[in-house]
Amino acid sequence: MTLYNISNTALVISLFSYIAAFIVFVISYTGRRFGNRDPQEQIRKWGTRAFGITVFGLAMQIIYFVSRWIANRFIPVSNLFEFMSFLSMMVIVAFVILYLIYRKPLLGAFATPVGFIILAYAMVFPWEAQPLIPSLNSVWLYIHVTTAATAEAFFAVGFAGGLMYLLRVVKFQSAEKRDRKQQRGVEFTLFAVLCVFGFIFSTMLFRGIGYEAAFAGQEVVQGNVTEVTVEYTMPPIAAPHGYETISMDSFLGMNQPLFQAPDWMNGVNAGRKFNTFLWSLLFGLVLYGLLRLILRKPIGAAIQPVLRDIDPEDLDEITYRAIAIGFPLFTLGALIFAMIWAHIAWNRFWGWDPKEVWALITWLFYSAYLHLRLGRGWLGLRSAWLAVIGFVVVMFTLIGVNLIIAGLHSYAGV
Amino acid sequence: MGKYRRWIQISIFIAVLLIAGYTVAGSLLGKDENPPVAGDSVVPFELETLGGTMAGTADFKGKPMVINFWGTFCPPCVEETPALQRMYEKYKDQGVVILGVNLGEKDLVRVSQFVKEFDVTYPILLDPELLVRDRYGVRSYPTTFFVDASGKVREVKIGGMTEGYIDSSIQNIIQ
Amino acid sequence: MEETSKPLDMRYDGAPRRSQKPKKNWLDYVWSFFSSVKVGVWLIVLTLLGAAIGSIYPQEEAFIIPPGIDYYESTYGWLGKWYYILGLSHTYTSWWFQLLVLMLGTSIVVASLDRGIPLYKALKKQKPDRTIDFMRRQQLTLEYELPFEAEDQAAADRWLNEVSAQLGKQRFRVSRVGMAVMGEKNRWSRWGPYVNHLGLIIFLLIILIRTLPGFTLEEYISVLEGDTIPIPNTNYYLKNEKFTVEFYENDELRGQFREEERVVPRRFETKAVLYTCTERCGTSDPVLQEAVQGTIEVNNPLEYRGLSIYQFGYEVTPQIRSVTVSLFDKQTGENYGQFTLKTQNPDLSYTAGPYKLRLHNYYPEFSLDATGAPTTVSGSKPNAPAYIFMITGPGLPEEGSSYIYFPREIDKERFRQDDINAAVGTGDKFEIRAGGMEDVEIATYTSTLTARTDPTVPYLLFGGLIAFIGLAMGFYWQHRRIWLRVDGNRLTLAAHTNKNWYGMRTEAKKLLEALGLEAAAVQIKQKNREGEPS
Repeated sequence: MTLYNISNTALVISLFSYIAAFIVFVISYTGRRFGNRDPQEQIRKWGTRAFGITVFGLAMQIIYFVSRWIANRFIPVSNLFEFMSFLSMMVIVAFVILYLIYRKPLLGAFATPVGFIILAYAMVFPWEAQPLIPSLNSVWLYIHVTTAATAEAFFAVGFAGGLMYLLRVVKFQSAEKRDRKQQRGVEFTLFAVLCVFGFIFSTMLFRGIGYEAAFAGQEVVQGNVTEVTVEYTMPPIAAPHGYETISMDSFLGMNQPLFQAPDWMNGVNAGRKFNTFLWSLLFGLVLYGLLRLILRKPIGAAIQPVLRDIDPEDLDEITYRAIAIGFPLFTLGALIFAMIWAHIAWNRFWGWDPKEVWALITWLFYSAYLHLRLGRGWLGLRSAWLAVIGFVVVMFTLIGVNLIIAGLHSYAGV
Repeated sequence: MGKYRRWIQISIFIAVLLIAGYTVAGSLLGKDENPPVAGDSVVPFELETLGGTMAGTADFKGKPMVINFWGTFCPPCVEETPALQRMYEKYKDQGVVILGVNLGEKDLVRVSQFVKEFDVTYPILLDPELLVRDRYGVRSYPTTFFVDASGKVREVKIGGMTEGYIDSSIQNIIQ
Repeated sequence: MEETSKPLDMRYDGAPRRSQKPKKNWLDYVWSFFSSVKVGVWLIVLTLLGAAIGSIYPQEEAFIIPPGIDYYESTYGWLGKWYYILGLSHTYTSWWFQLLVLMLGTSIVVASLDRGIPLYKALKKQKPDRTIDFMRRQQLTLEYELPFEAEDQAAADRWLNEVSAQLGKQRFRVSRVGMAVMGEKNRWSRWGPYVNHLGLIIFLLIILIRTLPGFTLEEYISVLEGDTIPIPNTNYYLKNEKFTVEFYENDELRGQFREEERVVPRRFETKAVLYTCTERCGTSDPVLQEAVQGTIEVNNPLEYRGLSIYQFGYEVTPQIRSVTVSLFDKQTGENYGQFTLKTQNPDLSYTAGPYKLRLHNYYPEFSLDATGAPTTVSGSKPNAPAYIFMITGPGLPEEGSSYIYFPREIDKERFRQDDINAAVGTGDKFEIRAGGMEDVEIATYTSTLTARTDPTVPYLLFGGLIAFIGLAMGFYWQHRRIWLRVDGNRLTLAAHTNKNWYGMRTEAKKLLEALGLEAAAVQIKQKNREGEPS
């Protein structure tokens, strides 16, 4: 059994452990009013078990990390899969730290999903680590990426806390305009999370049935017109603009792409990414619709009773604390170390590359959060929304920039 | 103590205003590295001639200049050469000079042959490393800068020119 | 005990700020404008939005030669056109963005001075004995009856000694005046935000200094193997003596890369020589003096007097540099002599035995123009080199006979070299031919390098690290103070921290429990919850 086998197996075990931990965290709260159980005791007992499963999963993930490091002979943060896996590991680490400070098992019910969703998302991308090209071959790679990911992990836990606060506090019963706005905001956030599920699920599904379609067209590359072929692994709702269909597996009786991507979408892969996005949206909608049907009320309203016994001010504090721990680390890792590495690799410490710009935007955003909270007394609802939006900015920096905007920073392998 | 503090406040704001002025001026007036457009002063340069001597804008100060960027590999540049030569002969007594800046051709044998074949008598300057080309922001060939006697760029023409066009542009700069 | 009045505003320890005094004139207005956190947050948000807009389309600075409006319009449509027109294609160097950053910097300076100085003074001159009213109006308070007689001064004194000792054990700095004790720790953490702001100001100021003309240099250069080219805006020339690249073997790659047999470089380097040019710079024969030589690799530049030359990348651009040929007699096969033809600025005359060859013309990329006359497509790249000679010597006319020679076989066929030479007569008599591939000198790679001068980098790093240290100081530690006073046998306790009330409460509890006052410990009251400005 090679090191890679051990590493990959350990990773899969950790994924399932986190999912199991999540379920047990949920049980610790939802099951507490059954029968003659003492709710506090129930929470404590099951909460500790769930935490134990989480720690086991983390141990597995550390095994994945270390064995892959040895097998690769360089630290495994060099492509999108490795980086996102590392991020998910740090999210669990951040959760463990905050759990040990505040001992709130319910945080686990929200933090572990953030962890395993990021991990599942990571697994969609190519796993194979390629040997490093010269500009990635520097010790500052390790330092910059790992510190930044750790900070982002704390922001992720802040997101979980913020979301929990919103679910706890937003008045789903009220029909007032201001409350309606809050309700819609929460539902939209949950919908967005379901779209991420939609992405993972749809990608795995179509990959599983081996779907393929291909298109040929022309692109202008560095001034020359070249013939390119684009392959889709999902049925084309949107074909690349101006391309011809070479081949297309039939799907549900569909033999032609439904339409072409708009012409302002540039780049060889624009059509494919747009198509993937549409499928994620579609699956997300279906999931959301199903949940609404089953629950017969907004999803946020359905989750709210679970949070009934938690003190919202505690959630507020956990959210703030997570971000307060993460922010100095983010400054160090995503800005300072990044500049050091950029200076060494490309001899310019800052080039206004989209990835760099969005790291700066993330930094400014959380700086605004902290100033508003500490200087202007923005607590509670406003603070929670900022924590949620902040994490969306982080995710855009990590994924959206690569997807939508091109630049020097695109990770190898994606 | 209060007075002391006041001075600190004032000096901070003066510093800020100075920096603001410097910043805005820097952005709006454009850095010196921008290529010259109509209305700017000519950017001085000096290059080697085919004969081996050095020549440049300084040698023709006070005279209207036509700075033509060309190459033997550029068909419209070749086409307009006879017209340029005729216009040079027509206007040289009025002090107008045409500077033919060659775009990076290091094979002197070909450039000399070309000059001989077309009987070019206006100065041919060699820009083998394309440094002057980049400084002038020339992207398509040919590009011609019409500069008046005071050193101001009156016109930047991109593309080949007819004899009539060159004539009227030169008329413009000798006014 | 009745409910006490609302809590004391403990920000800046209750000290008044300059911006809070009634505004008398324009200077005060401007000062308090920049000191306000609200304005600061607005500036942060506007900067953030400005930066985001600049990331939509590639900025002009991302290109080696900045493109014009045509590029934006043709690549991005009308949106791109308007992006360019509004100046958004150079957002980060635009006047409004720079002004925003300047205002942000001003706000940082003013806000820090406005708050930091009063805070420093207040904390410096604070005394351990506080009034009961002050203590009652703190966030964490406790009033309790101690287990000894009200008149027993000695007992009270002893008790306070115990308190001091315990506070010391909990690593507080203890000060005592009469029947009042104060424990304080980590006051330095209060300066965290100010240290952070100082670091940011240093960083911004140095960024400003950088923009002064001549301070920094950044040039991209591409050098073919064997070539020497000037570094623009400097007096330096760089020669690429040799370029080597090593690739990963296919079996070192994995998965998709391996299947596609991708070419992935393991490392590449340029053996380079740096020259300074003293005269005739920019012409075809500059006067050069060697300055330094070395090997340039990614992450490992060549350095000379503040100039750094970094390996950026490379291109595969195989080109003939020269070809060594012989002049043969077509009929007898006699080899008259050998000579070498360069593909860049070839020599004008050659000798082969009794014959002299004068180079009449040379075309790097031979082609026939519209009228059928020879011309070149490229001004410098020898993609299809062609030499036209005038040969003089025994048996040839005085003015010479012309002969055209194409080094590349494919061009020889395409342009029918033999037919042309036969038509002018020399084709039956002569042949110019290279011996084999060993006579052809090929340059394969063009090395792309960046030349940079930037003395500000270490100072920027310094500023950045100071900023980080300030953040760590402020967020990872907290300033805690705890006051106790005994009046008769009544204890009044109060505590304050700038962050993490949960932790402060725990400390206070621990103190009381250590003194045997568990019953008191649970009575500690907290007015507001965590995070509120206090």
